[in-house]
Amino acid sequence: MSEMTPATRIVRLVLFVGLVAWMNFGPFYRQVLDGDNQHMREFRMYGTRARRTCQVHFEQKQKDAWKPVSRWEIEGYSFQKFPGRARRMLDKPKDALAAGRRLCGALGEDSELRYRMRCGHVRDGWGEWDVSEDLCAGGGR
Amino acid sequence: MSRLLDRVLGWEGSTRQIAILRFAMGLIIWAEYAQKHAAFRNHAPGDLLFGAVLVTAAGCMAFGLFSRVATAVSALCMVYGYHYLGVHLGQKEPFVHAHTYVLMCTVVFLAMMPTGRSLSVDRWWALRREERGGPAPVPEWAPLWPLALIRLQLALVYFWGAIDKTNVAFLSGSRLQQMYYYYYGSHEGVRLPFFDELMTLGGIATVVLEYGLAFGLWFAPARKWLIPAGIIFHLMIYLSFPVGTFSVTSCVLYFAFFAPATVHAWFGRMAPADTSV
Repeated sequence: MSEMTPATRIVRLVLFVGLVAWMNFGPFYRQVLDGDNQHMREFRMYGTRARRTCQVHFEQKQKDAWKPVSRWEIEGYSFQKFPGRARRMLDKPKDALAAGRRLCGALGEDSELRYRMRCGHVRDGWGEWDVSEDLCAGGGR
Repeated sequence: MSRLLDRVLGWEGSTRQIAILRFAMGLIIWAEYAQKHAAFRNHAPGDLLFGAVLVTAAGCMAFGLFSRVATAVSALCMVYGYHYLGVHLGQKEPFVHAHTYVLMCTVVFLAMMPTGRSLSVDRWWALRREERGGPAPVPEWAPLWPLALIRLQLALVYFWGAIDKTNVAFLSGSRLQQMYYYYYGSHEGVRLPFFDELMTLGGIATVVLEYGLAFGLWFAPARKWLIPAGIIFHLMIYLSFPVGTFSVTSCVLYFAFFAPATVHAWFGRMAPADTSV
């Protein structure tokens, strides 16, 4: 064990305290004070991915009851084989509407089809469910 | 508080632990940056030079060749890459990420210690010089106060990560659901039984574990349970989402939390001096 000189102690003290302050200030500044200086580091999980993602269930009316319809299976996707993100994700009502129209083509234009849709945000979780009108009759919002 | 600070500032111990961290971090820098600075990807002379210097320095750092200089050059390159190229010039890839920041901090803190005194080419040369009648090599012993910063950095990643997740969106599992939908096709592609319940459980368990790791890693009895749990957690993230080198960096940094004397003793037990075989 070597003896620490006063000068060494001061250098270490300044570096240690300064670095601890810097390490703590970054996430505090970004995550608590909502600062946006990128030199400061925040530790958020995937803050830039899946910022707005929607969950869409299609339902077909059969014998006065709404039964779930799998767009995934009708369009020929599986867990092993699925298309690019732009085609498979329904991130906006207009995407759900377009997918619904494709399903009407596959199920028959005289089908009654609707979607139930809710969208989520990175910080807020899921929103409320939104139910469309009959998509095959040109409905939807 | 003052006594604790004095203990940290005067902390000395075996250099074998920091040598292992030096070795691992050098190789993680290769894994993170070498391909991204390959000549076929980027022909700009400045970027080629930067990549060559970083990868060469990291290689020397890993194997302990001119360790002190190599670690310092690696640290400077990473600070330059993150703060100047990444943040100042806006070249976010591959520099400005949480995992590259943790890697950068670790290498900066390693550069503040003589990591080459153990398990290095430098050490091997020093021993050979001694065998030829030269001076005895410096002992495998050094000030270790920057190791406390390495530990603190990892604890802060977990703490602030957990703070960010302490909200209804994450704890209800909906944030994890969104992540799975984003990376795995859509909600229709994820057909696991009890998926929603699993995501809620996953959300709560993640937050509990992250708070646990942030505070518990500092205590030896808790480490026995937290380190295996943390490794499983990081493996699951590795196998589920794109995380770069974050998982491997975190798992290697658990090693920083053991007492240097304990790590030194492990080597004694596993590689005894008597090599009669």
